[in-house]
Amino acid sequence: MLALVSDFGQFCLLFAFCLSCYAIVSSFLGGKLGNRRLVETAERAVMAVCGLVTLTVFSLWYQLLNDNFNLQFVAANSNRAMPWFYKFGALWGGQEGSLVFWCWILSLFSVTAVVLNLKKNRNLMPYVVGVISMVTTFFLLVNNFVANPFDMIGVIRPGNPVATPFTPMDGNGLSALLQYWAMVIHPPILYTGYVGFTIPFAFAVAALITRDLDEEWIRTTRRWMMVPWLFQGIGILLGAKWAYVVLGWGGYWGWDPVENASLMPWLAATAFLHSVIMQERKGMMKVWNMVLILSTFLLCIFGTFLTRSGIVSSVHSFAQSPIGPYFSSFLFLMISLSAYLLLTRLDALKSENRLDSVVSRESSFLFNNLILLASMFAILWGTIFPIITEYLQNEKRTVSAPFYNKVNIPIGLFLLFLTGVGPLLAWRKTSMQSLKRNFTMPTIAALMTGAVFFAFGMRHFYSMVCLILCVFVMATILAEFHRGANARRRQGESYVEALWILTFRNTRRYGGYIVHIAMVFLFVGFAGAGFNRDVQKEMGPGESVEIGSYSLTLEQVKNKDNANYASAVAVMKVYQNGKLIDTLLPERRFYKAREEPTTEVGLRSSLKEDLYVVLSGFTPSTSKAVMHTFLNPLVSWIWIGGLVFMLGTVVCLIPDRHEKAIQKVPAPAEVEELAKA
Amino acid sequence: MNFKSLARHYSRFLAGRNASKVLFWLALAMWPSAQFAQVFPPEVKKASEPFVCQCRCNHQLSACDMFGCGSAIPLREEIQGHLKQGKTQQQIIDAFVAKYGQNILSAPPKSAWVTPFAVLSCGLILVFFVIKAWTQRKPKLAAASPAAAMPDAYRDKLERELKDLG
Repeated sequence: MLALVSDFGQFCLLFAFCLSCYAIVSSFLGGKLGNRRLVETAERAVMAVCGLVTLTVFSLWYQLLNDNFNLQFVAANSNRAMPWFYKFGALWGGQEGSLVFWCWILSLFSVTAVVLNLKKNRNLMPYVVGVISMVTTFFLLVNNFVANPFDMIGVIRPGNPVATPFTPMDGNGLSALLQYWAMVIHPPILYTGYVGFTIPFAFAVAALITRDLDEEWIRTTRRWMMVPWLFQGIGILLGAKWAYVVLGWGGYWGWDPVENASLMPWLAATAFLHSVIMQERKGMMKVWNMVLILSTFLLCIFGTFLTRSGIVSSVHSFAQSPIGPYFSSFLFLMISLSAYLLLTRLDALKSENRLDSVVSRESSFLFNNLILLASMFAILWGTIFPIITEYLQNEKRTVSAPFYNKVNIPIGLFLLFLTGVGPLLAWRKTSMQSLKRNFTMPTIAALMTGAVFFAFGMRHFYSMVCLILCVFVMATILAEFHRGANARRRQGESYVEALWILTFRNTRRYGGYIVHIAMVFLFVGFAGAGFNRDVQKEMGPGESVEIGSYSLTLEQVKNKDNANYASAVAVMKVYQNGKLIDTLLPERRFYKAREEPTTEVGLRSSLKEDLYVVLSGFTPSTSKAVMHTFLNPLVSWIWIGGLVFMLGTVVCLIPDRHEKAIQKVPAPAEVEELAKA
Repeated sequence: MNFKSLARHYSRFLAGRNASKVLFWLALAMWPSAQFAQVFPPEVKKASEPFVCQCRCNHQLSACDMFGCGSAIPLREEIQGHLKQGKTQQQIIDAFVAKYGQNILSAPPKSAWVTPFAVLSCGLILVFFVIKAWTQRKPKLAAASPAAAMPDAYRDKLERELKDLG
């Protein structure tokens, strides 16, 4: 039965590839010839591909859950002792499975795009389907002929070290670092983000091919951009949570190349979500928006290439194989296609409007984009610098946290400042009275906060500036909500009711403010890093360590053993002011199948600070436990920020009554024509 | 000693600190012997900040907390040795670069630092010119725009009323 299901999965994968190739040809041909029926067959082929890839995924899950170690992929990423949910998650724990999973999400996105556009954007759809199918075909090509999850042990392929067929008694198991609950949901969410950016890319390419660059496609694209942007953001934060709890070094962001690879497209997409407002409202920045959409997708492919080719060292090295050349070729093809289309369509992307003043919403968007892109470039530069130096100077150089922090902290703070200022500037021109009215109170509040912090002895420059700016931005946003709610209260609504109606009548604007509040929370969390403390101590039973207002006593070290791993658990009693307040259980696990150790930190989290305890190991000389204790202030605000970010983006996605009514600010020429009329 | 007193003695032993000690040593004995850690004084941690750990974790040497890290522990021991010899931070950096190459440094050379800020500066200049070009575009037609011709006081009032409408 296992072999039958495996063969069936293999067949589905191959058939999906054939159908996807057909979808490319028929959609482009149908679009070119104006043959509606041909386009419809392409759309049906996309749906069939989705069905076939779904069957492939389910057959692969079946192999994993039933321990079919005849398959290389299953043997390399699963073992008998693993709990079922990790076997389920092993699908994206290895190269081949994760590419199938990627393909599956892409096919689901494709079907959604087709179904939602059965009656609209019909002129674009042949090319949208064609471009999506090109991407799907590429992944199916890799899955069928380079990294096939149904390869039996003994099949010779590039990178397959085993050439003799045999069935192992047990598998290697999933990487120990991935055996954590967040890793069951982090990759799917992050992949949904990565993959989702294909759809706006497809719409952009279709609009460029057809030269149909009116407002409808950009409105459709904005929504399609926001969904993956949400998933990518949540995925990045879940990854940070995983790093914080599993890697055990006391931090949540290590500027690992793969972390960087996920952040870059998110930053480009963030820039787009701001500058697209300029195009919708004023018909400006059309070329720029196109560049951002194309870059976001290309950065996703670049990130995937980084993750999987192994050209940079990373903690994510669990998913490397020789597929790098295929990805670099595909990336080159996509860059060439994008550049050609963009350069030959520049005449159709001219701005329709002008700028009235430097102090205006329009200018703030320009600066916002510049800063976001500067941050993205700094990350890109740091990530590829080792590759460049190795290529040019034949000497590898390392770029790690000091570089990224020093470059990105000032950029991030300026961005935070713009988050407060930008939304309150008026379109076209902001008067002095308006500036005074909007910014006096927030500025006073921020300065007073700074004075209080200084009086209490805070001297960490960046953290202090960050917290002052957080107060400033928060005050500007809350003032906006308050002004709007107060205006509505005159109609007899209660304050809460007014806030609710205000938000849901203009979801784009107020949802955007909620996302800005999330950013404030995130920056509050980042500011806390300036005050991190840690202490490392050898401890025997009954010995204590002091950090901040806490005293921690090691009561005992217990052993745990099951089929999957053996572990040592330190029982740490936490006292504050002499009173027992908690018991933390930091743990060291040793996964038997892979012979890999992992950390399970002991964590006591509050809004003020995290008490974070790691059992680092045991000293060979004294045979004592080495406990590494961290006191990380304000970290919880990062996770709260993540939840608020989700809420704000969901609010933005709810259609509001203003959305259809968004009128472009008329161009001067149009005004003149109207005046003549 | 009869059975009752033996049981009482044993239960007292388990309730006391001896029990936890026994469990502790038992835990250590059962743990794979390779999983050792070492505590280094704070000055070693400080002196390891300019270096990057070579275990592919991409962390600074001062931050790598990997269990029994085959790179971090010997490198820190080496730094501790240099410190005991009275070497300065710069001398340790020079010694490490001479021994392990530039790849041991956590911060890249100056050219890497300059580039992002150079790009940002170019971007600022570009934005400046874009704003200038956009504000100067078709000035005559712009004058015809009722919004541009509107006095600040009216614009301000209009903005306020539009905002109040929510």
